[in-house]
Amino acid sequence: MSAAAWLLALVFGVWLLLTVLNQFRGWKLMAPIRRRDLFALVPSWTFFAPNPATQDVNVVIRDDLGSSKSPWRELDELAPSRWRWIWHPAKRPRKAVYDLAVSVGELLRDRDIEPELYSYDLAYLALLNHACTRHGSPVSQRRQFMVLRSRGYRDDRAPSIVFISWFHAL
Amino acid sequence: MTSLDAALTLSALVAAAGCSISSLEALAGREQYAVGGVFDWRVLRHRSRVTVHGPAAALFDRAFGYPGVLGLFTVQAAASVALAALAFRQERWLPALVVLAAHLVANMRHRFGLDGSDQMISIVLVGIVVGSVVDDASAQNVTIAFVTAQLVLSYVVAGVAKIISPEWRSGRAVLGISETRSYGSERTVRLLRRHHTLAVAMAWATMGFEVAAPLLLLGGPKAALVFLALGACFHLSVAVTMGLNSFVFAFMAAYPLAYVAAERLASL
Repeated sequence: MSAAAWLLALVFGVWLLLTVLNQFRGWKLMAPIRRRDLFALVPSWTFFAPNPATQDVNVVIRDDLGSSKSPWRELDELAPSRWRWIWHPAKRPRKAVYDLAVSVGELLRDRDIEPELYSYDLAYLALLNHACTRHGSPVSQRRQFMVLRSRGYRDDRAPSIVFISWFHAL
Repeated sequence: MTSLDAALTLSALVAAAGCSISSLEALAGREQYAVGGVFDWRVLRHRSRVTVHGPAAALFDRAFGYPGVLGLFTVQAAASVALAALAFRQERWLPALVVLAAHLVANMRHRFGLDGSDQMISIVLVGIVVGSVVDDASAQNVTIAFVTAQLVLSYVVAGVAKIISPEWRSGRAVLGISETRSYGSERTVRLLRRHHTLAVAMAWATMGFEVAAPLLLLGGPKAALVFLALGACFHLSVAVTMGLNSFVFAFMAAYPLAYVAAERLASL
């Protein structure tokens, strides 16, 4: 083998080894590498498994109108498209909202984080920012978002609440 | 044209199609990168100290803020077209390198909303760049072996992770995923509710296909072709039923290189 081949074998070998190790999600050894993987080079290949995404994650918002609260409404409506098999611009933003909502929901599991500090979390801030720029009533003073899990087309079960934010000034 | 050249050409064409679509999708959904969008840079810049306080912070703000970030997707779209145009020539490495760089920077910019297709397309683009640049046979073999190993690993891991799950073994996972508004459709749900055995069959067909991935390398070129044909059907059906369009291009772009790997392994 040439020197170039040995060098490539080394680089690709390390990349492959990190990929293998990254399949064990609970393994804390990989956590620092995941944090530093800015370019998303180390994949996790466990698509929809072992726990498949059998619930939708919805984010709903409502406003404080002074003397009353507005009804909850969807932050982003899902518009079904027959072309999504080839053209699906909503896929990445939708997945991002899902990732952010799941990340915010995990704040509750971390008992070291005081609820007052939630609004310093990046995912919380990103969702709040996204929520606060949606149009509301002219008399809206503050806004709140809520993360729900719902059964999508199986609407015989009520959505379950994952997280309710504080009210934040608009 | 050698079989590797032909494979690199095909991979480049498929990768170029996928990267064009994903960059145009980003441009079509540009409001998500503007103020208040889910990818608003004013918030996401706080992920790293470098992008907030470092000497390069102003540069990041200009490149990643709105509308600067649209330049990134425009470069990626233009380079993808150039990659398709140069796919038949060895110089394909240059547009492939630009597409790869733009894609990696976009991954960094997005932070959230990435999926396995983003990672597979990075791996394939690395394979196209390196495979086109190096003219040494052993270095080329190492490159296609790496892309193929990642492809096989991706299927095996996905298959094993499903097989250990009771939800998947019972077929409930297929029905459950179809019932979500994100990945399902009312028509599929109606069909699967009427025919539960179809959901079970789909789950086992998926698991069977995924764990059979080592046959791609161990079964010889004919078995590899059968596996890759099944893979193409699998990804196309997932795109139609679940809307995961980017997986079609990212994974199928690796197929020509994987076939060459199977051919070379068989000739040893």
